[in-house]
Amino acid sequence: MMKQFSYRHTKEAKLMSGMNEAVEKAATLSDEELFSFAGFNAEAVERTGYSNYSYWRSTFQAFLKNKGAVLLLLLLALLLLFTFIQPYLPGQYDPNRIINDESGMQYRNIPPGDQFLLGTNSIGQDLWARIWAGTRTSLLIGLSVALAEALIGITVGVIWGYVRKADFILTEVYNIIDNIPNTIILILISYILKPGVKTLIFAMCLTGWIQMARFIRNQILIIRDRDYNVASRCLGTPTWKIMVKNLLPYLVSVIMLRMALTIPAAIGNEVFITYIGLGLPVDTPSLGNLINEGRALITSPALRYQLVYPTIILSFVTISFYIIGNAFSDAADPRNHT
Amino acid sequence: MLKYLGKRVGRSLLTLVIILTIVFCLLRLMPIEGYFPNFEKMTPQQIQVGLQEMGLTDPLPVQIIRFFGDLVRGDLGTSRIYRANVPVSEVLSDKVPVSIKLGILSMIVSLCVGLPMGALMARYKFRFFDRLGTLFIVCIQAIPAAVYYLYIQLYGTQLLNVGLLFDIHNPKYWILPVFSMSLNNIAFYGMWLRRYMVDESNKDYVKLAKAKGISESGVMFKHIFRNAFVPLAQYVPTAFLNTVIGSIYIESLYSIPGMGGLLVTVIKKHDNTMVQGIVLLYACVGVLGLLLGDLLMVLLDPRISLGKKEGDR
Amino acid sequence: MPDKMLTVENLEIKFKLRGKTLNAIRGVSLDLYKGEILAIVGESGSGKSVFTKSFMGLLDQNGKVTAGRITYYGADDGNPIDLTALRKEKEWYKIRGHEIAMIMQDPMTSLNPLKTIGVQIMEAVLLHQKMTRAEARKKTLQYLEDVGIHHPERRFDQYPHEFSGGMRQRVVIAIAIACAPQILICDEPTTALDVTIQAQILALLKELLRKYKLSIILITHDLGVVANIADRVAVMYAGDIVELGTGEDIFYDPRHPYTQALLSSLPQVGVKGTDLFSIPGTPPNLFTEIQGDAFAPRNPRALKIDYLEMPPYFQVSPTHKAKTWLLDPRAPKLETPAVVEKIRNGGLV
Repeated sequence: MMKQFSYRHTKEAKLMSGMNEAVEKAATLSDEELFSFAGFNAEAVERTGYSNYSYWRSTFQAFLKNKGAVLLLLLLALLLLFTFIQPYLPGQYDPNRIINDESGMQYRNIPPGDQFLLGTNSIGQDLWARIWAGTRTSLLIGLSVALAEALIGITVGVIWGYVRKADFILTEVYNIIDNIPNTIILILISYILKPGVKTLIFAMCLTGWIQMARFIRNQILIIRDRDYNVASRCLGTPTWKIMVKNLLPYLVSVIMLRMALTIPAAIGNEVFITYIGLGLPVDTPSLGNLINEGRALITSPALRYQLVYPTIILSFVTISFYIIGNAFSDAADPRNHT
Repeated sequence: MLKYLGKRVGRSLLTLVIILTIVFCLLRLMPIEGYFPNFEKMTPQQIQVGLQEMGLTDPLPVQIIRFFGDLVRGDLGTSRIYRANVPVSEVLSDKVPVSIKLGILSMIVSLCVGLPMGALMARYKFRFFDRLGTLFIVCIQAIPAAVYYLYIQLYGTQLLNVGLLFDIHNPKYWILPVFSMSLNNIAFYGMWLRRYMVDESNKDYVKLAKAKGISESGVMFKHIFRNAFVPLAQYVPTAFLNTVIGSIYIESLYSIPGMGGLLVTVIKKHDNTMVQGIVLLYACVGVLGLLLGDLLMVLLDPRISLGKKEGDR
Repeated sequence: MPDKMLTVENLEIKFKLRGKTLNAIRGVSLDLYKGEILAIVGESGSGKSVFTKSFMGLLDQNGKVTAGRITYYGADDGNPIDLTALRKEKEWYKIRGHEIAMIMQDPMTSLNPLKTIGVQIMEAVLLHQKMTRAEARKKTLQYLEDVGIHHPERRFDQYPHEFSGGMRQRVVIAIAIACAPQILICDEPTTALDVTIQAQILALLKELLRKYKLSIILITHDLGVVANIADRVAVMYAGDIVELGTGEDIFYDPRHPYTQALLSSLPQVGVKGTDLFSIPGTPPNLFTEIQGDAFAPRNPRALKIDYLEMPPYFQVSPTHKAKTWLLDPRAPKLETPAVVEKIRNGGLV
């Protein structure tokens, strides 16, 4: 009969029987027995304060609790996987191939259907192939920018926070860069250099890293002088251990959030820069390019699918990164751990 | 107080000079075809002569000094391609007022909508309104503005029964651009005000105020909102810059005759002096925005006037 | 016997925390009389603050009074008010400040940094005493003077950051007094202050008690403070009052092992050259249902019954009672602890 009880039930049952036992025991024991000394167990007293806390396990558990974010993460992972295997699937068109029918006419603006899953664009290229190629490009830009910003930002930020001499110079540099709108620098660099994926990544990283560095530096300054870290240092804890155990948990949350927000921002910037005519050449499909092409056709409702499909993918990618980033950053914050 | 103000303004001026110098030097790297309307037909000699006439072959320091000299007199150079031989300042003088008007309207709208939204979200934390607001903020921040602007233009114009392109004299045509430009800042103000108000409401002085017997809404408005607005003030300049940047896209999208739309046009036409003039103007706007934000903080927070600024941004 | 101001009967407070229930207050009964200073002593986490916050409806969102009654007798019309029956915030507004006011632990954070202290005191005056702004301002200056702030005219327009910690606590007290309350709850009012300032603040509280005819509930973990000022003392452990008596009862005749242990850990009673006494272990986990005497696991001389059944109150004298099986006639007789002997012989204060 016990077998059909779940673990939880057995535990409760145990507790219940324990309590009953206590009452029964009190009834059966003689007064003399009851009022004798119970003895002292030093170990049992300390047991209440014990906790087997682990930072990364708690982070992981807290993240898994957020069902929506986990679902999005799975979908996003599938999407990422698909963008990379899509060209190798059978029956795919080249994203830049202009497709002609038997009579040599281009398949222009064919609506979505059997032959072209998502239709073709105004010069007869397969939209399905272009969207996946574009997603690849946009993700490449987003991920590269986020990674580069994190690498440069963390390195400079740590130096900034720990080397006092660097503080003055870097603070001045920050004040100057902070005063120019990022987008203006982005426009300026894209205008000066040749358009291309590398230019875009370079232009976006040029300003982004300093925000990250500033963030890291502030966190280090705040956390470094917190009393518990001073206490750790007084107890002779090695610096690396303080950094890994006390500093890193706080920084992980911030870094993850910034990286997660950088990706949608970078993808959005690419759309913007392409719109003002400084983006990628048309033969490098990107979500920005596709949306720009689609935008030119918004006046005719029949062709609106060329705008809608790229924006659906783009919005899915950016929202996913945003939500996953926020969820992970919440989960990585030690204050949210149970 | 005055000393602090003087120092702060002086700092801004210095920063501005450094920024203008850097931007000016960067702009020297612009492709030279952007200086001539008919570059393809010119011989190398003609180009050389042309560049010399414009003083572009002089050593960089000389150019910089001349540039600042011209700047003080309000001379931003002459457009070569967009409107041949018209001074940049003259081209801009028609356009800037439109942008300013658009920007101010959008600032007002975003403050009027964003602040109440954030306050209500904090007041009804974790309830329906808060969740709705959070959803809105996530959408606005996660989806690139370049995308939802398009859809607003597409469906908004149908809804309001107006044309896709802007008509400066018809007030109805101002609605969509102003609304679009405000969205980002509404989300921005809403998010930060909610966060700061929630932070503030956990502080001891709020508990004391409640223990005094002040009503919930009294505490919310007189203490929490007021105090949460102070750290929020430092984001007003960022919000202002958001508006300015948003205007580049919006103005171009609706063909509004403003500075932002002009920038996109002259970039597409490769008119170097025009690009230079507008970029420098935007840099100035950036510095000015941050300066105003700091001054706003001084006005709002009595602790700063002592000369020490508590905490880092 | 003086009038009762407040009675608490079998109060239970529970918190919901991440799906678990925390039993913060476990069936506490207590009376507060007019004009007395009642001290509640206990270590952090014993539920002292939570207990008093429930008198003002200031429990955190996830906390609830699940059983018991709190009755307030000091209302203007003389009718008793059942505070646990108040549901709406609006109903609490009549109690908070107006009947019961509170002083918090840290004066550095309990003032609004962006408002002048004059405005903050005046806010309370205007809220609870019907008068014009000009009158309120005059009254505010009076309060500032009462709490010992010199040059009130000049100080009126200053911000909290222009005051020292002790001065800020005086301002906080002025705010509480300005509400014209009957009961003043002081939650660790001196903990954040220098020792020299502590005495001044305690003296001030005593003076105000007389001048404004208050009753004071003083929450503290510092027995030294209690000895100085309290008329009666309640010792709290793990959400329950384990011993209650006059100051003398508690200091010269402590009966509960926890009270005795608490007194033993006072540095003043330690013997030079020996280790200071400390209570072994940590307070029990309030997430689990506690059986028997909550202090038993930390008590080296716990009885078997302590683990099985919760002791009732045993009356020691009309003013003194304690919740320990040691007072049961069946319990083995123990000799008076050394610490009590020492205090009786003048080892404290």
